[in-house]
Amino acid sequence: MTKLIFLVVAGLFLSSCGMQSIPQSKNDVEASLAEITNQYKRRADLIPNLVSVVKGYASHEKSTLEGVIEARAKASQITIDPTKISPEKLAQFQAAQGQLSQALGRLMVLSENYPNLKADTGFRDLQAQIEGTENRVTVARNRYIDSVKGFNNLVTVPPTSWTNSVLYKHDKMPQWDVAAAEKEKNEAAPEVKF
Amino acid sequence: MRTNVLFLFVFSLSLSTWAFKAPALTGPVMDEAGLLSQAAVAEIEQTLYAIKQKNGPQIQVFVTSSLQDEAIESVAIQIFDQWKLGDAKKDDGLLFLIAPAEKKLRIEVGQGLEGDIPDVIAKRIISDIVSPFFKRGEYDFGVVQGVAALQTYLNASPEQKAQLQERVNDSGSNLNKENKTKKYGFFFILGIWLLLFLFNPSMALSLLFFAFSRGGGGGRGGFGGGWSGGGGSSSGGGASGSW
Repeated sequence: MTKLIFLVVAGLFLSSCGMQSIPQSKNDVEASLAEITNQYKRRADLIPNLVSVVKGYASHEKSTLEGVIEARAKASQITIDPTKISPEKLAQFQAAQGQLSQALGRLMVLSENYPNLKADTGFRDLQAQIEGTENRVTVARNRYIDSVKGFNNLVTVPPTSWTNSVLYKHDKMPQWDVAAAEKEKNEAAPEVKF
Repeated sequence: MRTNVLFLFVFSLSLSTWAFKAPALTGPVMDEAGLLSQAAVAEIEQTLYAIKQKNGPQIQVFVTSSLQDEAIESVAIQIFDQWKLGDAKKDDGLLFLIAPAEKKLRIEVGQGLEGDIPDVIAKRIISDIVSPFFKRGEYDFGVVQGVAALQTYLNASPEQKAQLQERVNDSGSNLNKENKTKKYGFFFILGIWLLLFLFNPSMALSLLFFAFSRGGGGGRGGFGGGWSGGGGSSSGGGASGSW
């Protein structure tokens, strides 16, 4: 009889206590952050080509071009280790990539003034690739947000949170700051010159 | 082009809520807006069934009546997530999304097909092949040609892929070349048709036949059911455009 009770309790414990789901969910979070960094890396790799194409048509737009190069250099210095996510690190990473997005946005707005540039096949291809990458970043970010939400639920909501406090002692994972991203976006609002 | 710039800003927005309601997946061509003729729908469906039956990718054409006030990129990924196009292991789904009310279109490429249809190719298919037809109101032909172009790239052998890739790189290195896409648009389509002819003469011929006999009536193909998502996913690859 005691054996049976033990088995039932153990079964319940294993299936719903979070012993498996907490580490699984942690792996999900790490994988989704790795995907974000991967896509940002891809974007950074496209930028030198983009800058050189734009230079061919608009070499006198120095400040914008240099702004992009500088922001790219800064952004590639700040890397984040998906296995050691801290709120400060994530905020830093996000800020650096946000600045690069802004600089890139300005470059794209500027390209509107150069019809020959816009018609260049090389530019159009790069633009398609950068748009694609930005979209992948958005998708990856949404998936990160979802996976962090899942993980944080596991470590804060009983009964799985009890397992966490006994066995794993994980803290909540930092959430992607959507508000900050929005703010940056608004600050980078395009200046349209007529 | 201005919309393209807008993209970049829209992209920096995070879409934390999945709000778009996609209808149930019923067949390879779903036309909510009544944009395509019945003959075209039957024609395209037959092609897409045939591709999938040969263990090929799952290509889905969807004409939505409204984007429900969301960006087309966001809608495309949500539909993809809900329908799970393509095989779970191969992730070989592809969504050709058309929103006539907003005059926007997108090719959303499943993760497993990103090598066959990179963003640049998706963008070119949209802006060089499909959009020009759509601008003239020739929706049937635009979709048929778009699907044919996709098929050409999907069927290409490794050597041909290398050639296509080289062509892409070539055009990228000629920085100061004038835009010749308009002049060469016809030849581009002709080239694609010829490629298609090499791979699949019967489809190429039926396409040609279809091109000249548009407007003729035709019954729906005799395929019943058998069309559902297989668990595939997309990481946001592809390209968007407008007309």
